[in-house]
Amino acid sequence: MRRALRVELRRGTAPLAAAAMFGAGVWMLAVHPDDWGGRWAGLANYLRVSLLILCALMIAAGAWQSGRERRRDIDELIASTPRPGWQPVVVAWLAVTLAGAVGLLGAFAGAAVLVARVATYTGGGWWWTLTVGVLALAAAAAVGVLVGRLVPLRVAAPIAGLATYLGLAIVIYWDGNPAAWLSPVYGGWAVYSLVPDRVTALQAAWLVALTVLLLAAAARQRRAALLAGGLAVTAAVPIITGPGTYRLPADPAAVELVCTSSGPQVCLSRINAFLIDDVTEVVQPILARLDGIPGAPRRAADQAAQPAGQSLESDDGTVWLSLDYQSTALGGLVSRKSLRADFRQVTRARCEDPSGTRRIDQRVYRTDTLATDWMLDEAATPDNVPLARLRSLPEPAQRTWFAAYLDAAHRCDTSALIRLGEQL
Amino acid sequence: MTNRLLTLHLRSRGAFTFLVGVGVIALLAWAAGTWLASRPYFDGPAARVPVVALAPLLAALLLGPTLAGADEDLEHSTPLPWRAWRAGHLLVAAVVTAVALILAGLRAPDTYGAHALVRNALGCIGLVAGGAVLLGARLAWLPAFVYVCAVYAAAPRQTSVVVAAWAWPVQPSTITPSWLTAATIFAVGAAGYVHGGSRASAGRRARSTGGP
Repeated sequence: MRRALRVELRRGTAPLAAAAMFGAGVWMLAVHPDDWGGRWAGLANYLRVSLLILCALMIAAGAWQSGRERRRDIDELIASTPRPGWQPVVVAWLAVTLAGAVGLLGAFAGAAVLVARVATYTGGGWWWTLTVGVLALAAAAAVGVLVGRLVPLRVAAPIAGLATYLGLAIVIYWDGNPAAWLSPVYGGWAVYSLVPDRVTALQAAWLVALTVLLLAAAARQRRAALLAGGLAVTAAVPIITGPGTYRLPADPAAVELVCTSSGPQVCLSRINAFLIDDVTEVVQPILARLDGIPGAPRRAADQAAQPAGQSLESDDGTVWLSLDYQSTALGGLVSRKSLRADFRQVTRARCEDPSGTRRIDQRVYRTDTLATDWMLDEAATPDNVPLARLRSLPEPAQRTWFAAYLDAAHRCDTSALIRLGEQL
Repeated sequence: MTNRLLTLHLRSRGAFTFLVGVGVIALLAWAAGTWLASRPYFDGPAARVPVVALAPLLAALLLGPTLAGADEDLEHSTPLPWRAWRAGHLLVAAVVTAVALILAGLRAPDTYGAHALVRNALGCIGLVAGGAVLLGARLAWLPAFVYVCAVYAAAPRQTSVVVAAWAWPVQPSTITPSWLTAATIFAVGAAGYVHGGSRASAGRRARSTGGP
C-alpha cells in the first residue's frame, strides 16, 4: 500500500493538487496581507477564511483523482484484482490530501516566516485553528473522492468544486446560526476573537467523522459508513444546539494594552503591538498638539481593547484607533492617512438624533472640516482662507478657538458652530 | 444529408446535456440573482456579483466536453470542412449560452445583470475553447475554473485600468477594459479552436506517434 501511495503521489493528481493549492495559497495570502500581517491568530484565521476556495479546489482534485479509473476505462480491471476494495479509495484520498496540505502549508509557511519576524502575541489557540483547517482539507478531498466515484460526468470535478464553493458561501451568510460552525470556513471576524475551545474540538471530531463516512461510502463499506455516520451526527448535534457564531468574545490576553513610556500615551493591544513604533510616529504629534486643550483626548488606544458596547465618541479622553486591517505583510503600517482619519472622532459634531441619523447644516460641516484640518495640521491649499486665517492667529488664540469648537461640537450647539466658522 | 450529419454531430457531442445544463444554470442564476437583489442587507442588484461570476463559468464548463468527439483523429480523417463545423459549433453554443443568461439577468441589466453575464460568458467560453486546444476537451475546464475562482476569491479592493483588465469577471459591465479583455480571450480561444480543434487525448497521441 505504501508503494501504491508513492506512485500516486508522483504520478496521480497529487502533484497538480499540490501545485494548485500552493498557487491558491500564495494568491490568497498576497491579495489581503492586511488580514494576517504580523499576527499568528490572523494567519490561522485567514487560512480558515481561504478554505472557501481551497475546499473547492480540494474537492475538484479528489474528484479528478478518483474518476481516473473510469475515464481510463480500467475500473473493471482494477475491481478484478485481489485487493480489498477500500484500499485504492484510501490511497487516492491520502495522496490528494497529503499533496494538497503540503502545497498549502508550504505557501503559509512562507507567510509564517514574515509573521514570526514581528509578531508580538503568540497565544489565542491559533495552532488548533490551523489543525482543524487541515482536517477540513482532508474532508474536502474525501467529498471529491466520493463525487468522482459516483458521478460519471467528465466535468464532475469542477462542478462539484463550484457547488461546494456556493454552499460554503451561503453558510457564511448564516451569521449567528450555530449550524454555520459545521462549515470549516471562518466568516472573517476580528483576529482577536476567541472561538470557544469546545467548538474547535467538536469541529475536529465532526470533520474526522465526516471524512471517514465519505470514504466508507466511496468504498461501499456499509458498516464503517454507518459507524462514522453515527459519530458525525454525535459531533454535529452539540454544535448545532450550541451558541452561534455571532459576537465572539475577545481574547483578553490578546487585547491587553501595551503602552508607550514617553510622550503622550499611545496604547495598542498586545496582538497589534508590533505596529506601536509606526503608530506612535503618526499619532504622538497630533496628541502633542491637542495637549492641554479642554475636552481634547489625552491618549490614543487600540479599538480592539475598547470595552464592549462603548461608543467611539464617549468622552473618556481616548481616541480609539482602528488597527484591524493596518498591517502590511512585512509588519509595517498600511495607511498613515486612515490612522489620522481615526482622529475625526474627536472633532465630529455629536448631532445624531436618537435613531442614529445625522442631519447636519453645510456651514457646520465646513467648521468641522476646518477644525479637523487644524488638529491634523493639514497643509492648507491656497484657496482655504479660513484655515490660513486660523493659523495666522497667535498660538493661544488658536487653541482657545479649538477648545470652543470642541465644546460646541460635543453639545451639538449648531449656532455656536456656525459662528465659530464664520468668525474666521 | 447535412441535416442527418447535424443530428449525428449534436448527438455525439452531448449537445442535449449541454442545453439542459445551460437551461438549469440560467434558472438557478435567475433565482439566485432575484434572491440576492431582494435581500435588505445587501445593496440591491449590485449584490449579484457571485451570480455574474459563476453562472457563465458553469455554462462554459458544461461546454468543455462538447468540444471534442469520441475520437478526434477519426473525425479529422473524414472529408468534412471541420473548421466551419467547429466555428459553427462554438458560435451557436456561445449564442445559446448568452441568450439563456441574458434572460436570467434582465432586471437592472447594467448593474451586474445581463450585460456582465454576456461579457463573462464570452470570456469563459474563450478560456474553455483555449483550454480544449492546449489541454484537450477532457481538461478544457481547468483554465477557466482556476482563473475565475482565483479572481472571484481575491478581487482587489482598488480599481485601476490594469485591475479592470485582469479582473474582468467581477467588474461592472460599464468598465470598457473588462469587455476588451473578455472579447480578446474569446477571439483568441475561438480562433485557436476553429483552427486546430481540440487536442487529442494522451492515449491516442501516444499510439499515433508509435509510443508505448
